[in-house]
Amino acid sequence: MQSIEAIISLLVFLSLSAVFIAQLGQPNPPDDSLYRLQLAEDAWRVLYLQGHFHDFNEGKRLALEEDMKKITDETGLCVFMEGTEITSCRGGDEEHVMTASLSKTIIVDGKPKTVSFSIGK
Amino acid sequence: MTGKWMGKGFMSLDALFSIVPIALMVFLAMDMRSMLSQEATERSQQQVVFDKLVPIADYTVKSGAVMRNGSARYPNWIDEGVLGDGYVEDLRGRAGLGALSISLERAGPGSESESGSGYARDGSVCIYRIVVIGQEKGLGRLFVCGGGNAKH
Repeated sequence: MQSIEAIISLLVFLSLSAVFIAQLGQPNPPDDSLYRLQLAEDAWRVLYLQGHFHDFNEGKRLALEEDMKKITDETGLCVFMEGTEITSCRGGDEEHVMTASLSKTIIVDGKPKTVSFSIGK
Repeated sequence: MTGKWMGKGFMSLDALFSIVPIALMVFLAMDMRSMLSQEATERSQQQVVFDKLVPIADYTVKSGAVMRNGSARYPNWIDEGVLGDGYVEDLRGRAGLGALSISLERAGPGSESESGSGYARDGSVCIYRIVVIGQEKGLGRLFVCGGGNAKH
């Protein structure tokens, strides 16, 4: 009988300790959501400054992909442009996690088109 | 008589065997709590520094050190000449940081390193922004590193 009581007490003590330690040991992850959005905006701005979005057409696709890959090589961040199916990383949504997305409008073949510009890992 | 003493002896042994592990567990719990509390404090301080570096970097790439042409300015196109000691010291003082450094790294062979934004062991924090540098608009990264609160 005493053994059963001891086992129950031990189990209660261990479970309470586990909850207590888990609460202490799980700090809030750093909030970097604004920073991630800024990085996405940076990638967009850099490609814009390099002239990729001035009247974009299929002929500019390779050059854009090449510069996107440079960003990936430099930072480790994948760049995706949904709507044009241009990316610096293979695999798309299934293999990569988007960390920040922006909605942008570019002129494609003379017509405005809204694309989702994202960075991820 | 002997049985009575033996009973007391067993009770003392029982008590001893239960007190030792309880004392050990309490000691371990206190030690762990103190360690976790210290880690939480350090992490909190790093978050404070990080929260100061983000607007510093944003100001630098959007206005503080960008190329200008008359009244026009070009965010993310960095003018290296602006990033002098005076500029950094001014921002450091206004942000109330103990240390601040801003540097540029051009993309190229050898620049692709694991170093990016993150926390260092000495309590300093580094973040980077993606920029273009110079008239050729070459890809690069602007690193902003800082740590510690300035003493007033």
